[in-house]
Amino acid sequence: MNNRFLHLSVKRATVLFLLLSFLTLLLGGTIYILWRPSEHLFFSWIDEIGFGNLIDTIRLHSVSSRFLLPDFVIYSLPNGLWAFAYSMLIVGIWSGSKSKIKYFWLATIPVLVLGFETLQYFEIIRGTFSIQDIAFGITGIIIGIIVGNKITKIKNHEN
Amino acid sequence: MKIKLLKKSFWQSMLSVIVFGIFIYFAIGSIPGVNQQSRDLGDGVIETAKTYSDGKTEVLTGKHDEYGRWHGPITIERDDGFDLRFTESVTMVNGQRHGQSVTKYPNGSTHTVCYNMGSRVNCSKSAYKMVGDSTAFQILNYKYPWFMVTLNMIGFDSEYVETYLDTVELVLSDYEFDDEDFDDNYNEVIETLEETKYDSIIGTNYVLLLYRALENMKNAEFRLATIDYYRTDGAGTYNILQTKYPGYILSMNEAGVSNQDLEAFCLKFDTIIASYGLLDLEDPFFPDSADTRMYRAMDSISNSEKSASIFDELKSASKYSLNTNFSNYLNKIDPKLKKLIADNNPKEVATLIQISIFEYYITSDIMRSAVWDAYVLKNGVIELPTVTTEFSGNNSTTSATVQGYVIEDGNNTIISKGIAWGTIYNPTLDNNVEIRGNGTLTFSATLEGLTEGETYYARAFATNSAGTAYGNCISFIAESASGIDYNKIKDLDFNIYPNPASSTTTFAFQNKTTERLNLVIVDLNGKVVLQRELGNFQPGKNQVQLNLSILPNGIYNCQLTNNSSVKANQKLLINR
Repeated sequence: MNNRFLHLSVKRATVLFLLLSFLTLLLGGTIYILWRPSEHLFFSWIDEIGFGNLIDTIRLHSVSSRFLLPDFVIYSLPNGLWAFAYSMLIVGIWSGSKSKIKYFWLATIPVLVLGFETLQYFEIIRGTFSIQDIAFGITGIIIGIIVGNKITKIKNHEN
Repeated sequence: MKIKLLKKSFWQSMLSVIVFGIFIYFAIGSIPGVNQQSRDLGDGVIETAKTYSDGKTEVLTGKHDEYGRWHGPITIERDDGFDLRFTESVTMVNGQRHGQSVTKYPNGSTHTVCYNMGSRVNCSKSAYKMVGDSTAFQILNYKYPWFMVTLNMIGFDSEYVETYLDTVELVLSDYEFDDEDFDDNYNEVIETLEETKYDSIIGTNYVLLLYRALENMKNAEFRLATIDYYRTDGAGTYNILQTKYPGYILSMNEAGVSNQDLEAFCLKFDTIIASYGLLDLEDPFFPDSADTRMYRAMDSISNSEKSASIFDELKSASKYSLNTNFSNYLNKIDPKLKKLIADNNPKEVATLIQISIFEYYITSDIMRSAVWDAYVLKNGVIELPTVTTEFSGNNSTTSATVQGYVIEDGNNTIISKGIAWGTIYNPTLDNNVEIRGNGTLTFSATLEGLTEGETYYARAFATNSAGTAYGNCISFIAESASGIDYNKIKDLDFNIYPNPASSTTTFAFQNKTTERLNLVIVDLNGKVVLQRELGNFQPGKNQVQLNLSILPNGIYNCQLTNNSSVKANQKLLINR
């Protein structure tokens, strides 16, 4: 009975990981698709796989709702959501590991999340540098690490 | 145990790489696409950088008018990514090349051409007649040399462009058709050639077309009215259309929209626009923000399902002609499309207005225009003439002179030409008319009986057997000039724009010697209301911008002075 419960808990933890990360990515992607300017590369990719017209229609339906949302939801929240998802996944993948490679991967969290903002600040890549984006990114990292640790504690505790 | 740990680390790393890769993919996708970015360099100077592909850029630097259109001296730098720079210095009016354009090539040589509202003209401003067997390439090269420079910069040399256009003409010649079928057949030819080695130039042309269209669409009257809406406290869009753009209301009437339906639409439009909040009118990108809100408001009024299908139709660009006006264009569209817009409720009116703006898009395809012109010449098709208008100046408080130029006669004799003028935008033959005979020679008309301080609009027109065509609409104040024509600045000529002004105003002048200049603004009672030391200016074209929001509405006399005398003066109307 205990073994079966343990197996279920570990499974549940894994499902929770995947579901949370998928949902946050989906939410961030939805915000981009619905309300961000269509000049982003996403849209050329979407066009290339043949969903351009469908997305255009969806965007037409959603355009009026854009002005009900505060700007930070459109322009900064996706950054935080992706930071959360990435941090949680990396923490989850490397939880309990004694390998030193783990620190390399943990270091990619701030590098990836904050790196793009830094490149935008120095105008190396296109985009608008924003302190708000950084704040959301850092918040996403922190919450992602906390949630990642909490979920992996289920597995480690049962182990 | 160690091997087990290593194996585990390996799989953890593999998983991390996959996750990392996915997030890099999303992060790259969130970078704005490589197209166009603008920034304010200060002092009203805007820099717009367009990136085409592989690092090729085109950077425009200059100023916008109050409607966000390029206006005045503009510098265009084209960079092919390997330090190959073509620099063009040109004057623009309403986003069109107007006046002399000097292009400097990387080897130091220069090439000068003249334009009149986007059309190339002889620098003496006489009409140019294409010979009957001119090819599309020859026409493109002559009429749009700046476009050829851009194509060369992107990587399509002239020989390649010529081969492509010759191929288009050759394939098109296989069709037996009337000029009414030109567009359908041209589209078929392009679709065929998209499967060949010419797919890259066709793809590039779509991008160039989009940029040109975005500029041209800024001249759409409904769009101008929307910007005026923001600047006019309390006036609704319909009122603005009635007072300033009644010609647009007429064109909508011709398209089947009654004044009541248009007014109902405008009320709904105004409500939505107002819900978006205020815009900062001093922001140099204010017209761009107004554009975004206009399109979004129209989108939210339109029936999205229907408008999506309409735009699918328009994007395939299967049913339009270069040689027609908006109502004729609507008459040619698919009957099922017409049924979609027959109801004239706000949703359908919104769709019609979007179509009317989209018309500027479909006339922005330069390659298509060149092929059409060649076709017209070869087949003797009679087109409407091409005419442009220029303001010569005020003669007195009640009289002004306007000039007209017949750029192209449309392959047929000009039977009548002149100037249409009045107090509304885009005046027609139904307003005041000064007829100036026939033929293609430059002409001018003196407009009498003006009221001092009133804003007037004028357009040159020319008529051949195909009909009457109008030139660009210019505006002026009786005893003041509005807009700017740098070709006419000489000595210390002095121009003020916009005029009427509301807040930030540009004072432009050209001086022959280095001198220190002051600006003195005097009201009608002779009282000095503003005095400013402008600074020391080198010979040449100079301009300064001042915020005049402290001055109440009214007519003022602006004087440029040095320490000893008045060098120039102009009337200024402030109207908020």
